[in-house]
Amino acid sequence: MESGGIIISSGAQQVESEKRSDGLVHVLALLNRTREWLLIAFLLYLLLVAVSMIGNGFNMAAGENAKDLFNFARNPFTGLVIGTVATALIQSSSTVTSIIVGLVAGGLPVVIAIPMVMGANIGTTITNTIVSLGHIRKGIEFRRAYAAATIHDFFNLLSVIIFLPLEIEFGLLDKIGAYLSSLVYGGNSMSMKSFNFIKPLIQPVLKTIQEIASGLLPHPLSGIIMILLGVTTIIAVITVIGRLLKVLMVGRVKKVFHWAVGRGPISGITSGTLLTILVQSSSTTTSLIVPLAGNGIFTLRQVYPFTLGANIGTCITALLAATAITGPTAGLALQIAFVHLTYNILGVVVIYSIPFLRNIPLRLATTLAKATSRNKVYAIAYIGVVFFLAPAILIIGSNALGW
Amino acid sequence: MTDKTQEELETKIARLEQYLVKLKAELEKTRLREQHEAIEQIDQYLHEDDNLTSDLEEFWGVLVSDMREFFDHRKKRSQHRH
Repeated sequence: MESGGIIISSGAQQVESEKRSDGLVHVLALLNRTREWLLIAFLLYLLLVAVSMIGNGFNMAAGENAKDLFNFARNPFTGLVIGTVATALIQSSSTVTSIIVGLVAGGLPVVIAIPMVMGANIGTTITNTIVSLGHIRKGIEFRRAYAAATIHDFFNLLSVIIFLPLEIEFGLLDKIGAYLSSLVYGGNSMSMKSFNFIKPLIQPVLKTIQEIASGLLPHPLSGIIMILLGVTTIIAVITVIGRLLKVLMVGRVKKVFHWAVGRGPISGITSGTLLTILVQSSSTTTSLIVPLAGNGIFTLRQVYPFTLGANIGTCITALLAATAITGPTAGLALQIAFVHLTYNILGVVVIYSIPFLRNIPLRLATTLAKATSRNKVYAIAYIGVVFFLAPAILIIGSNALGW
Repeated sequence: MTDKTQEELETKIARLEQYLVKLKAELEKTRLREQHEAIEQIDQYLHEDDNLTSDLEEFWGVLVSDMREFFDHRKKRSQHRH
C-alpha cells in the first residue's frame, strides 16, 4: 500500500514537474518572440531615421542645388534603367523605393523619381526568375516554375509600356500622387502635419547624427557620409526585417494562404498583397510560389493574381518611409510613395480586368518557358534583352531623339 | 434512328455528363487538398530567395554542358562532312 502511495506521489510530482517545464518553455518562447518583435520595432525606427538621413544628407551636401544633381536622369528611360538595375542588384524593391523616398526628400524631383519607381518593379522580378532557374534539371517542373516566375516580369513590363508613355505625355501618376498627398498634407487642421508623432521620435537622433557628422567632417563630405550611411542602413534594416518576419509570420502566412485557396483571382490578389505586407518583401512572396507552381500544385492562372498582389503589398514600406520625412519636402516624399501605390493598383486594375491585356503575360510566359526548356540559351538571351539590351537601346535612342 | 435508340443514347450522354461533372468536382477537391497540404509546408518555401547563388550555379552548370554538347556535335558534323 505504502509503495503504491509512493508511486502515485512520484507520478504526480513528475506530472507537476512536466507542467512546470512546459510553462517555462512557453514563457521562454514568449520572451523570445517579444524580443524579436521589439527588434523589429527598433529596426523600423532605424528605417525611418535612415530615410530622413538621406534627405538631410542631400540638403547638407548640396543645399538648394540638390535638384541639379539629378539632371542626368531627366530622360525617363535613364530613370527607368536606374530603378531596374538598382533593384536587380539590391534584390529588393522595398529598399529601392524607400531610398527613392529619401532622395525625393533630399531634392530629387518627383517627375524623375517616377520612372525609377517603375524600374524598381521590373528589377524585383529578376529574383524569382533566378529561383526558377534552380529547377533547370527537372524538365516539366522547370517549365512550370519558369513560367510562374516570368509572368510577373511580363506583367511589369506591360505595365511600364502602358503607363510610362501616359506619364511622359500627361503626368498621370504625378497628378494622382500629388492629389493623394495633398489629402494627407492638406492645409486643414485635420492634416497629418498637425499630429505627426514620428517627427518628435526621429528628430533628436537625426539632429545628433547630423551634428556629429558636421563636427567630424568638412562640408560637403558630412552630407555625403549621411547619404551613404542612410542608404546602407536601409539596405541592412530591410534585409534583417525580412529575415525576422519570415520566421515570425509563418503561421499568419499559412492562414492567409489557406483562406485564399480556391476562391478566385480577387482573393489571389488580396492574399499576395497581405503576404507581402506580412513578410515585407515582394521577392519572398513571388519566389515562394515558384516551387509550388513548379511541382504542379498551383496552376499558372492561380499564381498570376497572387504575384500581382505582391506588387501592391510592397508599396507599404515606401509609404511607411515617407511618414518619416518632415519639413517642406514631406508632401513630395509622400507623393512618390502614393505614385508607387497608385501605379501598382492601376496596373492590376487595367491589365487584369481587360481579358486581352490579361492574357498577354500569360501567353508570353508560357511561350518563353517552352522555348527555354528546349534551349537554355533563351534564359540568358531573355535576361540580356530585358535587363541590358532593351534599356541600352531605349537610353541611346531617346537621347538621340533629344528627349 | 428509332425513338428508343435516341432516348437510350440521350440517357447515356446525360449519365456521362453527370459522371464528368462528378469527376471534375473530385479533381478540384483533390487539387484543393494537395494545395492545403503544400501550404502546411510553406515555411520551407519562404526561404527560396535566400539560395540565389546556388540556383545560378545549378543553371550555369546545365547551360555550359548543353553548350559544350552543342559545339561538340557541330564540330563532329563538320569533320564528318570534310
